[in-house]
Amino acid sequence: MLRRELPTEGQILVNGRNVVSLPSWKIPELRRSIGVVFQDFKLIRRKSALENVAYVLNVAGVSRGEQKRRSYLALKGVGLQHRLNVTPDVLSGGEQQRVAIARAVVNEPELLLADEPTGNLDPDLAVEIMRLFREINARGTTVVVATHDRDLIRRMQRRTIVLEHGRVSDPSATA
Amino acid sequence: MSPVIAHLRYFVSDALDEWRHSPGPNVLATATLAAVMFVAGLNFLILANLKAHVGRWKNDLRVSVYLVDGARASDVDALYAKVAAVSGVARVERVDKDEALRRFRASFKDLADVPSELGTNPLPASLEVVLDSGPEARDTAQAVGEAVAGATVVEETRYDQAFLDRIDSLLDIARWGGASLGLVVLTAVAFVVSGVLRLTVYARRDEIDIMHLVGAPPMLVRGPFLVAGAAQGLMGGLLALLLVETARRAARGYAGAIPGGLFDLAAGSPLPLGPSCFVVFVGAALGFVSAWFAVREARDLER
Repeated sequence: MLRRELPTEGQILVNGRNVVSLPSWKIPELRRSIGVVFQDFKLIRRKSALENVAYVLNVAGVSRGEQKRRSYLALKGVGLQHRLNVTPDVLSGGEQQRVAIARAVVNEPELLLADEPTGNLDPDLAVEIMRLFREINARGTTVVVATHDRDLIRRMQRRTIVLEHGRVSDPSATA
Repeated sequence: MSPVIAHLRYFVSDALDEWRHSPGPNVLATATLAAVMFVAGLNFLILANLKAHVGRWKNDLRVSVYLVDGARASDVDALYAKVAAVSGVARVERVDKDEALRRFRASFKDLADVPSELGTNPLPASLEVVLDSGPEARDTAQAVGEAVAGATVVEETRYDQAFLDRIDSLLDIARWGGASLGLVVLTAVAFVVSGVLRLTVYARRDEIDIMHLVGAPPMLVRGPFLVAGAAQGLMGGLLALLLVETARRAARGYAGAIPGGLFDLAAGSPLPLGPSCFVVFVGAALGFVSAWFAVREARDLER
């Protein structure tokens, strides 16, 4: 969905747009419209939590003052307003993932992708992260979470699409 | 603030940040650029000094009108008056045979005994014509030559215009030859420095990957590297100028005992403003081009 890889056949529609046929110069624009959270957090090690979140806004051409204000609010939204100026190395795994979530939502995307967001976290933190996703979803953002954690899926009580061997085996299964 | 200014500010701050976090490759790249620009700066220094000297010599021409032995004083007086009347002639000095011999002995101490051994003074008397200094000296010298042409008391007329023209031409050849060679060397250096800068690009490949994932356009990813490259070249150029002047002063101190010697000829004056700006500009351009090569080579990082 981020156009990192291309399918061998078919199309991928994101907000009605077929990303497979997207010209390469439009890929950054597509990615700016989608928030992404990864299993390994993918935070820039030499930037502080605030700078990591603000980078997305910088890319979008938002003024510096506005970058700071919105980044602060995003970090406050994930409970990290007291960890603004520390680098990822100082943060715990759960805190790093919350910074990544703040970064994913700071631009208020219509779609948020989370690729194994709880894979590196203990169960309690995993529940905490999923609670954050639920809140984000409640604010109107579509959240797509890819996970192998069936127990977590059952607890979330949301629409589930099951993929087995690269094929949709149950498109309407709801835990 | 316009987006362009905002992005430039980001490029500069990110480049500074990169310097703080991994100074090694940045210092290495700057030092390489400084070394190359130092060699170029020395070349410019020597050429500029030689060119300036030749220019001064060409503007301070003297014409020597050698007289036949036994020329009558009245004929010499008439020739003197004719030469002195030429426009652009500052003054005319009479040099008799004895004075010519004294000057010869003063200039060529090793050969001072030769005239005595010959038993006679072989040096001719002459009129030394000093011309007004300036670019018109060449035309004045020609006018003097025409004024004395055909005079029976004149043995030979000499001035060094042709010789100086040849030196000037040689300097031009050296300058253009040096420029051509310099272009080849600078291209090679651009590849070497881009190799060093590529280390910094690869050291930040994870970061670059993240930038692409959050939708940073290629220019925003590459911008800090290009700015860093240009800054390294700029600093390398300024450092090279500092080294050139330091080397010149050090050599001047060393060669102080021989004023007017080869050193004064080649490096008596500091590098002029024009070539100095050129060294800094080429340094910055070289750094930018090297960085451009580095980020272009790293295109496979874009996914």
